Amino acid sequence: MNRTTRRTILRGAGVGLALPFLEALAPRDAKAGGGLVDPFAIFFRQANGVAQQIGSGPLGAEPERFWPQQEGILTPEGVAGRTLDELTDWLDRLLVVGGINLDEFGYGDGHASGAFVGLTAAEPVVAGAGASAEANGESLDRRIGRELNPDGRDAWFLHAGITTGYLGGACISYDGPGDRAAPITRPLSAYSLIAGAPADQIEALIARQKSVNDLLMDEFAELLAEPALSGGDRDRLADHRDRIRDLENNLACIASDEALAEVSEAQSPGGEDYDEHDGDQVLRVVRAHMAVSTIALSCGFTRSVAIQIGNGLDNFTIYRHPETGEPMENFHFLSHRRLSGTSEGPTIDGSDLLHHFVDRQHAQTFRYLLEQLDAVQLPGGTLLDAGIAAWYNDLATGPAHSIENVPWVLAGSAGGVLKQGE
Amino acid sequence: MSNRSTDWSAVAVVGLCLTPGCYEGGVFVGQGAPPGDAADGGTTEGDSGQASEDSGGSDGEPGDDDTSPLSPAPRVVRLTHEQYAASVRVLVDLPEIEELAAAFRPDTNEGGFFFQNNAESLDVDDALWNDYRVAAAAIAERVAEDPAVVATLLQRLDIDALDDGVVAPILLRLFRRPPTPSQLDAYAAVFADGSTHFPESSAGLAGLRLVLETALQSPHFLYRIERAQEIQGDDIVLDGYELAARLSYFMVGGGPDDALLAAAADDALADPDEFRAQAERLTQQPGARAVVARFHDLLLESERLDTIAGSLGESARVESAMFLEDLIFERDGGWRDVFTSTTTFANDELAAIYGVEPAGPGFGEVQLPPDRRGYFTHVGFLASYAHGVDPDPILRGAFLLQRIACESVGAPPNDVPPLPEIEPGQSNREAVVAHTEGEGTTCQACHQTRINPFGFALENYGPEGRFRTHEGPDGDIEIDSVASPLIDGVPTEVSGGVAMMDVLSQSARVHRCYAEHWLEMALGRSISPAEAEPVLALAEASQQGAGVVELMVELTQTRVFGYRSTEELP
Repeated sequence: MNRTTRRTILRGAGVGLALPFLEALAPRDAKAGGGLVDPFAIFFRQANGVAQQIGSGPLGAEPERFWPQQEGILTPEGVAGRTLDELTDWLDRLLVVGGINLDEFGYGDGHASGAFVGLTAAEPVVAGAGASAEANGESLDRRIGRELNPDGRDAWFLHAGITTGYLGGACISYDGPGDRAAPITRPLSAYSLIAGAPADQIEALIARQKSVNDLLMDEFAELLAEPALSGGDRDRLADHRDRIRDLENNLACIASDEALAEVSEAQSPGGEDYDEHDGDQVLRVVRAHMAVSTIALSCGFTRSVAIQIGNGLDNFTIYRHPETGEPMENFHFLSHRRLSGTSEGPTIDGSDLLHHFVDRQHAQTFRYLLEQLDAVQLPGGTLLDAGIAAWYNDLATGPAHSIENVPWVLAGSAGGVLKQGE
Repeated sequence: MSNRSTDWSAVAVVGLCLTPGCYEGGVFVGQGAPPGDAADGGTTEGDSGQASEDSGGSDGEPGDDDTSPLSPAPRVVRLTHEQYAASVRVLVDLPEIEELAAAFRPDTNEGGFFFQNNAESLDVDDALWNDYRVAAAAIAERVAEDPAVVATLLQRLDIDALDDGVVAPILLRLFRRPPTPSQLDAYAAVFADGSTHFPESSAGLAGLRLVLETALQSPHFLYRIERAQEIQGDDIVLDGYELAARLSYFMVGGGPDDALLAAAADDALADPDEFRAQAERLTQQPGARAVVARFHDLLLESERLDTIAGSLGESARVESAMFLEDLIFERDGGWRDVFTSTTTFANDELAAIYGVEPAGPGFGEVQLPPDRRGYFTHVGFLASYAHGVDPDPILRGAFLLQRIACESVGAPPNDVPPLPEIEPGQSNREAVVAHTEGEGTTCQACHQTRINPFGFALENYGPEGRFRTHEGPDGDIEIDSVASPLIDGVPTEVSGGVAMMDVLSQSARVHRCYAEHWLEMALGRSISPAEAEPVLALAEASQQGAGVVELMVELTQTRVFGYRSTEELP
């Protein structure tokens, strides 16, 4: 179902959209959880495991700081003191999944096992040591987008922080074996995909781009007729040609001035004052990505979003101490509990707790996403009910970089399909 | 693909332990043995001499005797984002163009190709199409709304009146070849249509704006296209404009300037002397310095220097950039000199670590003390492969082995135990040896003879790169930096970093590795083992002391650079 021309209204949380009410456009076959928006998925990936219980490590045994106290129904008491208590208000909308092991994907580098396998469920291609590996399959986010996105649009792969480094930087989203998806790093660029241009310029732009596109299509046709081109040449040109679109459909959603201002302010990658190593600034970009994603999902512009921070190690992001505001060691070092990205080097005092603080910042950011999605009111529910939001990790634990019991926290029921509250 | 942005942290994460079968062959700079090399990939004794004999470059004209088959290559290659900006600047030099291009969604680092210009992975998705659209509109508006910019443009194009006569010279520069009659007609119609879309502007400005907005989204601008099919000997001969584009994008990172386009129009680039002269001319352009800087940033993983704590990382970044630019452009230095140079640039912070007097406020040239020589004994490399209180010989060694000597190392096994703490009285080296070189362990095969020796020879440089002779909590453990790194396939005993730099600077394999990386960036693809001859020729020149700039010029004279294979990709 192509819902991209629908003008919708979103309320609250800075994602207010103007224009006519969804209710007037409600389809007769509205499903549970809203029905006006087809099911969608949004994935938020964290690197380096979480601070959970381990029997031994560089700092000795570490207590449980992540999982609920017991399996079964989620309760505030059960998550108190754990990272998940950041989501206490959302427990009845969560499905906390434990016991996920990536052992089937035996490979010396846990980062590669986790990052490449997390959304592909395919064993990495190992050309050498970790940095030479690639994922070996289409990732779930791309598959959803390919199968379900209207007008053949790409699934959204959004990124914050450093885009280069270990595992090639942006490394969780693949169109196929060895075929990485390119990330969008600027929230305003993502919004531009939807809106096309400022509202006061859009009508003129639509007419002009139509004129431009007509000529471009002729040029692509002429080039594609060139007999000497290889199949790869043709595929790249044809892919490009297929991306050329008229802009009428992109008017589906227009952000409110307030929402746009928030996104614009976080549009800092590349800006003079932006430090892509600063955890606070990186997480602010993530939240802006989430705000724009909420617009895109509510409009059906895309039905799949994946969000990644940093590279395969997230070792360039310096998260800040929640109490002092001071920068901590880079996240990868914290996860090792050492002043090192290896298993040697001096230990960092209290780094298990510092890792827990980073986990909490991810949990808070995920909570922001849930607030955004839940603020979009649909008949019979909210946008959150219509889809699924997943906060998942490459690894299970910090020090050992174990891939056994990798945490996945799901929210939303995808229109009543998934259990919640346990 | 043979190269890769490598962060060895994760190798060490799993305990720094690699499989017994980790030696995947000292491949021909990564991918297979070249003609004349030993079956194990040319790591046997005498390898260096073989390279010289095979090079075909003995008369100083690399490529003269090159009979190696060329690999098929894409005919349609999208511009990188840096190339996009430089290509626009050929027409209009606006300061905001680079910012616009920097806002494009980043390309992926795919298949280990760390130069970010792999032709087969440069594609256009929804986001990039939108970025192109937005940038084209912004640039066109910026030009058309600034009379000074328009005046400069018309002057450059040698045009008096702003009418549709502007179309041909604009397309010549953006499409890198004269427009065809049908293109001229189409864009003249676009020019005429300008007033429809920009009624508030004069017809000339409106037409100019719409032509620019359209042409900047055209595949003829966004892709370098090679349609040549004329066969000469065993190869396809590129036409003059295609040669001009190849030369310009490699040498200065952007589209051909007017002099190159004029030479192409006169078919002068088919003359080897003229082609060489044009290459040499381009070495004087600012773009050449940017190309050289970017190549080395990616090759040496300069972004790692950002991981050095405090202000030292920024100091090291500045030192690295100043050192390489001065060495290569002011001293005609080559890759050999990168290992052996006895000077660098230092501020107070770096001078204190080197133990020399600073040259003045800020950065200045300093003479390195006798215990250092070349880039790999600078603070940047040493401190970015260290942690806290100890250097990391495994990370240092792995980088030199893989990135500088182009030796492959296989994937580590799963479930490797972590490195234990250093015991009292034990040196850093002894701790690494105890963990990774145990007789019969899975770690031994790769660490003992391949990875560790490169790192152990640098043990005299502490975690910040400060020279030291002793270590340990009480400073009473003597450091042993005698090691036998694998140089051209032969364990070669060296005593310390300076001695190893001397040996590396003469290594045939190290220069082959460097030459192949240059060819990879120049061609935007991996180099096949069958294309050994140009690599060997360039490597020999480099080994004999050719400067980097000279090497770039020689690269442009090779067959693989100037011709296409008659075989097409599937």
